[in-house]
Amino acid sequence: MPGIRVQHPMARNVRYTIVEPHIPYGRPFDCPPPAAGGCGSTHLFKTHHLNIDGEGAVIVSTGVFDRIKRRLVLDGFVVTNEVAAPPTIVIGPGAPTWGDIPIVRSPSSTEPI
Amino acid sequence: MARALYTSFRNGILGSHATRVDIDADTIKAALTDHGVDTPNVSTDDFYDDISAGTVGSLSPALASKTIGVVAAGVFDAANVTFTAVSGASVESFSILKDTGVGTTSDLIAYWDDATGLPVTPNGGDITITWNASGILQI
Repeated sequence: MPGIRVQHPMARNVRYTIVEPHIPYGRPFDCPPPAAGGCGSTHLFKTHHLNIDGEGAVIVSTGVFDRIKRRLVLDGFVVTNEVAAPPTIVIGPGAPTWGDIPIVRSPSSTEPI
Repeated sequence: MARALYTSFRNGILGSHATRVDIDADTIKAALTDHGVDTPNVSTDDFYDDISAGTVGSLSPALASKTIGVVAAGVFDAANVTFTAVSGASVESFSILKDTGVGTTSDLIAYWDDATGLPVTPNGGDITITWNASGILQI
């Protein structure tokens, strides 16, 4: 499946969270710490975590893109290109940790109060 | 919740569940789950149909190179497993299960929501689960 590469104007080397406030979790989700892959928060609503690289880009699946594209636009992301063969993502208990990475929360799509 | 064995699997080891899992002989697969659709409950969910609504993409291929008691006593291990071209929503957890091809008879085995890389936002490419060198689970 192709992926969609989007680019943020300023964010670099951060994990960027975007919340879908109309989708509550069945129970609160205790997000793993940043070094493990999450953001260390407890989420009550569906939250996407985008690992933005040093050039401000991140590749998302078409499924994710379709769900959050309006929020991406509101936050200043622009679509740069379609990626025919996105790189493999490695997860799991034996996967290498990320190291510390700053967390940036979308100003336009945060958890409802 | 972090990581846990499903209660029904634990009880099944002792024979108090309707079906039993033979990890050696049965087809064991993994499932990625979108908690925005279904949040697995290790205490009450017993078969795959309880969490299948939240599955992102398809089940993984069958776990290969399975071993029991080789890595250490009571340890189940297998080769890393790869989901191909995942295009769905972001994933908060994954589980392993016995796949019979029928959700209502596919026993849930174990659950992780704190493994490295979770939650993961698919990029349309493959997602590989890398198991710990000390094995997947231990009884």
